[in-house]
Amino acid sequence: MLESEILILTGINIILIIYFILEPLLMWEEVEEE
Amino acid sequence: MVAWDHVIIIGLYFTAMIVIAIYGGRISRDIKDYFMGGGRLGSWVGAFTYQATNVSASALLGAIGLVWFAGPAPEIWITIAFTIGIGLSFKYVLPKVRSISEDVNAVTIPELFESRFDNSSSVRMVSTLLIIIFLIPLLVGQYVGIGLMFEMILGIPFNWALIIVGTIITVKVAYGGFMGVALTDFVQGWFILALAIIMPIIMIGNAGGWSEMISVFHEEAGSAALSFWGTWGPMTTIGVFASILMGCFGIPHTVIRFFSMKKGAEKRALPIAMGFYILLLPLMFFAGMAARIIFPGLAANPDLALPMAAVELLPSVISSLLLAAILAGLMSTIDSIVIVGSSSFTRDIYKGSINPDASDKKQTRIGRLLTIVVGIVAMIYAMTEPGLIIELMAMSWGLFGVTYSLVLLGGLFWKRMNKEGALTALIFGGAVYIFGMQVWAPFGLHPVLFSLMVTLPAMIIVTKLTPKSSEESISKFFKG
Repeated sequence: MLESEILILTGINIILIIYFILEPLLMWEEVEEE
Repeated sequence: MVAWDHVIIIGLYFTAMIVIAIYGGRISRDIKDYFMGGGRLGSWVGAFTYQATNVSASALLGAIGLVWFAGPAPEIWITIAFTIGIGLSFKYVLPKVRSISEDVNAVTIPELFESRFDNSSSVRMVSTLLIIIFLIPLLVGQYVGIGLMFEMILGIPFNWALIIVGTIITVKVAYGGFMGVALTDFVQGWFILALAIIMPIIMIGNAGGWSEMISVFHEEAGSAALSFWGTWGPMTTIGVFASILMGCFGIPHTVIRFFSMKKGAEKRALPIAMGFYILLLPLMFFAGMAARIIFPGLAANPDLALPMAAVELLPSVISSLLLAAILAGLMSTIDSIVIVGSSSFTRDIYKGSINPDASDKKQTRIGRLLTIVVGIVAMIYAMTEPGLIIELMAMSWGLFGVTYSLVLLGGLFWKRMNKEGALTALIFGGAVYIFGMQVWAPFGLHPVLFSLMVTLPAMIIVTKLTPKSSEESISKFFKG
């Protein structure tokens, strides 16, 4: 099995990326609603 | 032996790129279009040209080589730094830079600095010199990557490869300008994504499947390679993390892409750029591990793992297209650096000091000529000392991270920042960084961290001790 430390790092990375994908998309809709 | 089957398909690919670039040149209307796309890029082309520029020799060849010998952790740290750096700069730096560069009519980053810091020609000159001195080695590093790939994989001698590819890229940039670069980046971006999706699957399969790959890699590389810091250890990893993170805010050939986006495109560009990045992760994390099992004897040149795998594991038509995708990654970085170099020469040196009244047409002509000069200088440079240049490539990232990034972030978000502070970051920051790299840094610190620790306080103190920037300069950057 892959060492858990690497999995933790990869998880952090993916969470960050998803945050940066979703955050502007959600914000963008708000702006449009205005 | 020259591998003609690959050469022919790659030749066709190059021809298509030149046609697209020339189309880009034809739809360019003025000097702003030629040098920075004149604020005309939409979110898709904008995000793709940014990411294709970022995905350079270091991501497609270097990253895989790094995982091959140091394990996946350092590369994962590097991608975390990129994620944060790209995310924050798209979110906070892009919208400001986009609208300000439009308001103050800036075509280059030194021009933006100049208008923020009381029209200071010294800030502009010093920042231009930094681009010219430290961007060319980065360019040369990409050329060396291409030369090695051609020599080892296609059987074309290193110098010939440089001449052929160098000429193609130079002609493409000279006639296509920034619009040509952006459009070809968009097409090349899709090639890179195809490569990133296909190769990890094929390579992990060839390494015997997921669990087999992990256990053999563990045996081959040792348990340190599968630990939190990899075989790099914490000091190096944290230092590289810092230089990538800081570099994201200031590397000129990517930041210039913020000048070129259309109003409103910036919000959609971030999810697209990040979506692009997430698709690259499996390639960067796992291809190197698989390569260690498929090509155990690659220690002398692990950087070539990816092109070798493409050639050995796939039928020749597909592998040629994948080789073209790797070249796409390198070429889209080279063309972006060339255009930043030639725009700096033209706008900041030629128009700034030699001939201030030059018309747009004349500047475009000079820009084209200088593109050819920059292309030739880099080609010749690449033929001489590739070893040293790889070192200089890493140096460029850190250097812009402690100079340009501090000036740009300070200029955009700190009203009090003035030209003396900017010059401190550019000159002192750069000098401390180079000293830390070449001579000595305390406690074995990475030179980027050393320079940041000294330069940031110095910049703040010098700024506080010297007069504020004029209201006129500040008002352009801070509205309301």
